[in-house]
Amino acid sequence: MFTEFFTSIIVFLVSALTTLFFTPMVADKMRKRGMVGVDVHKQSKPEVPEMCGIGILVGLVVSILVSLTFLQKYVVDFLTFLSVVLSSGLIGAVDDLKRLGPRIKPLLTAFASLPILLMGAYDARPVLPLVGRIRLTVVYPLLIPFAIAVPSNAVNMMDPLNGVMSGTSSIVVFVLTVSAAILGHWNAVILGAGLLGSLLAFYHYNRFPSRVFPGNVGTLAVGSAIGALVVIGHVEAIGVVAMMPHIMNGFYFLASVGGLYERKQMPVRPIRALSDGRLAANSNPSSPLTLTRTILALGPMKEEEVIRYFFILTAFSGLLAFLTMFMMM
Amino acid sequence: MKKITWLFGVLLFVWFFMLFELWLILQVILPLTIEADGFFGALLTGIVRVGAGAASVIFWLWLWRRIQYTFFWKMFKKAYKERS
Repeated sequence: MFTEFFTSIIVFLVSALTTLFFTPMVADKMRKRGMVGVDVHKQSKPEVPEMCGIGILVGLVVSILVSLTFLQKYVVDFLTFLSVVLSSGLIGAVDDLKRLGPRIKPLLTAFASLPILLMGAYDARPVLPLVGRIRLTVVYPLLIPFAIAVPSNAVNMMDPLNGVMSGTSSIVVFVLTVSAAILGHWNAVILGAGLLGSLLAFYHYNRFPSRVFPGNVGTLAVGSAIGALVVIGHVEAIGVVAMMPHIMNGFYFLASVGGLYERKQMPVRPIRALSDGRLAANSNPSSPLTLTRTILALGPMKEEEVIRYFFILTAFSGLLAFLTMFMMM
Repeated sequence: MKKITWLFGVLLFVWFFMLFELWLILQVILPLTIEADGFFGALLTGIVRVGAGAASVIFWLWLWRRIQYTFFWKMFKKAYKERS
């Protein structure tokens, strides 16, 4: 246990430092190549480099490879995890460069779960709250593509304002890592520490006012990393509860719009920027009911205030996730 | 903080109902059996289990959507009427 704990600390530090170092370099390259996005919620409409989530990927890959020099017993789990994350990152990169359709993206991310199935890096006997351990020999493998596609697309949709994706994902990963430590799932603790280090370092650049945007390469990779962490680390129920704000956001969007659409395809925006710099919910009944619009139903707010509410809601669902974990013990 | 109490309420509702659904499906719906022999009995049992499970999940999603919409428009009208 000491080796695993020590490895987790090293992995956390290596991933954080690598991401801190690489992200500005990626941002410079992207700016030079014209890969920039407009921050539409600011009055000055600044251009921010896109696809900087590559920094998260680099940090994660380097730290997990470093961990293998300390611990070889989780080599299958770690390489499976990296395969899933890199495949999703690649799908995200293609989407950033060529725009995949809104229906193709979830399908491709489902295929990114193949390494888990092929390597058998799962246990088809999940522990559920109130019920205990159940055997799902046939059903469990069928659910794995959803376990990767749903979180990766939910995180992809949860990137409406500066730092929301990296901040809320950090909270989710923190909850999963601590839960895995309490349950003694050390493979998940090490993977979680790597992911958390990268996310926190990225948040440093991505927080309000953003100096970098993660792009689909970052959001899809982080979402699939959370999904893979949940499956490989055997913390399924905790993962679902911790990700409730992400799931709510996706569910509200799908329920109000009635299908999958890209942000740019939406004829009516869910929120609007006021002349005084604040954000307000769109009163048009046909605009999508996202979590941002739901929060803004409370009245016009500054962007920082909305972001803070996102973090409070995610922290609250994190508490419920801890409660769920205790119901599993 | 006080302003978003209703969103905490929605989260609590979703969490509580999720646990209830889990218990309902695994402890009540899955053990359901139809008293009929042979292939027809097994088929009927399967249909009843899948149907009941799907119905309970659809009811949960419908209720969630309904609560969300009701609260959203209530809060929206209150907040934006005060400002106009």
